[in-house]
Amino acid sequence: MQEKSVAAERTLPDFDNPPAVETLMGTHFAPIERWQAPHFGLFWARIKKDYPRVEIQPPVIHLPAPGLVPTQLQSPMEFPLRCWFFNQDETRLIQVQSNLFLHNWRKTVQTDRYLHYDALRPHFEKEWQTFRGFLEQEGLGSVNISMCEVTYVNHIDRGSGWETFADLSNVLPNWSPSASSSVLPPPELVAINAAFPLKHVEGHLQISAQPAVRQNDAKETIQLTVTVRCKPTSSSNEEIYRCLDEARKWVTLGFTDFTSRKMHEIWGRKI
Amino acid sequence: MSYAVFEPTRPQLEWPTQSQWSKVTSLLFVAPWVLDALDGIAGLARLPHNWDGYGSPRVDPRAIAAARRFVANVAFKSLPFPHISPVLGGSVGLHWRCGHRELEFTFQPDGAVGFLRILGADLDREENMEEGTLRQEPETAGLRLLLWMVGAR
Repeated sequence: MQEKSVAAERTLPDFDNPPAVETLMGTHFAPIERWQAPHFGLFWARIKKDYPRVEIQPPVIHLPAPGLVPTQLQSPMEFPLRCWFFNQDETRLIQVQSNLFLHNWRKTVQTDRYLHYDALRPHFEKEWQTFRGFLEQEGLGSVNISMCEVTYVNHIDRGSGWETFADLSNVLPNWSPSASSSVLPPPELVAINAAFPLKHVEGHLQISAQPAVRQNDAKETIQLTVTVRCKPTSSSNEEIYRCLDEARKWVTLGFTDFTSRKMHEIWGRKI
Repeated sequence: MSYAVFEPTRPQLEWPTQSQWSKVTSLLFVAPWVLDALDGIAGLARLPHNWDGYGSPRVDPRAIAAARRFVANVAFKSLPFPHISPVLGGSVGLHWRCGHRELEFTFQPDGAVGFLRILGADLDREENMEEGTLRQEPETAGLRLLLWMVGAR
């Protein structure tokens, strides 16, 4: 699928070699009252040609972000599960549960090219419209969207701008290595969680930095997860796409603001 | 928030990463030795040809990568530090002991993972030993064996 023409008009910060290994975008909505376990299979039948493998997962349960009321599973008839539908080359994934619809992209090997939001949003639009059509045709009603979400998962590997957690301020300038006195040695591990209100948008940006080991190659990394959840003014597709674009804008600005200029150089900042 | 229903002990990142697809193990929730063990396994690559004086080849990079992946996947907090060793034929050995229970894993260059499970000190009793090969998803099967060893199953 070709990137939209907006790609030529990029004004947001952009990098030649960004550390993003996964992105997701999607919607959270009030639980669909008549949704039952067989609907996962019926929906899969619609997309199986493009998403031939399925996995059952435990449901996502949200802790409320400040100021946003999450949609919780409420009905005793609701089946608490989520389905993952994988595309052929396992680079894209659709996640469905009775109150959310998410579309993920991930890098499968380190040499994979990063796929821009502009290239991924058309995929989301197509699958989202299929899902909405399915709900309508199965008589499950329309969705009442409570939040739109964009998340970028970034891996900043040891050796790429940092060697120990004493170097963390070289990566994340908000972290200060200085202390009131010199009692404590440099930290062995550091994890950071931060939430920021958004300007002119009803929503929040959350950033989480956690020390981790990647399971597919056992490399040590700092996983920097940047999430924006914001509330659309209606449940129309146009408003959802606008809200996702806004969320993506704040993810990019938040990521760039939260990371250091030295790292921007390493990632080849273009804009 | 944890994925307790399906993966009772595998360390995962905390919320808000429930929707994440790519798998990582949080260093905040794993055994404190995991980085040392990963370094120790990687260090086997420095052993020369004939490291044992009997003509053994160098340790195969595929076996090293498989053993590192395994440790990164299973290093839950209560697991003791493994003994790490080169094995004849270019393989990597990991050996855990917990009381009278022992587990040995051998990571072979072809991707197969051999295991030997020992229960009790009396090795003359056949029922005290079991061996086999893990071919599919060795991390998941290995985790089950390790949970048995520490007495969680």
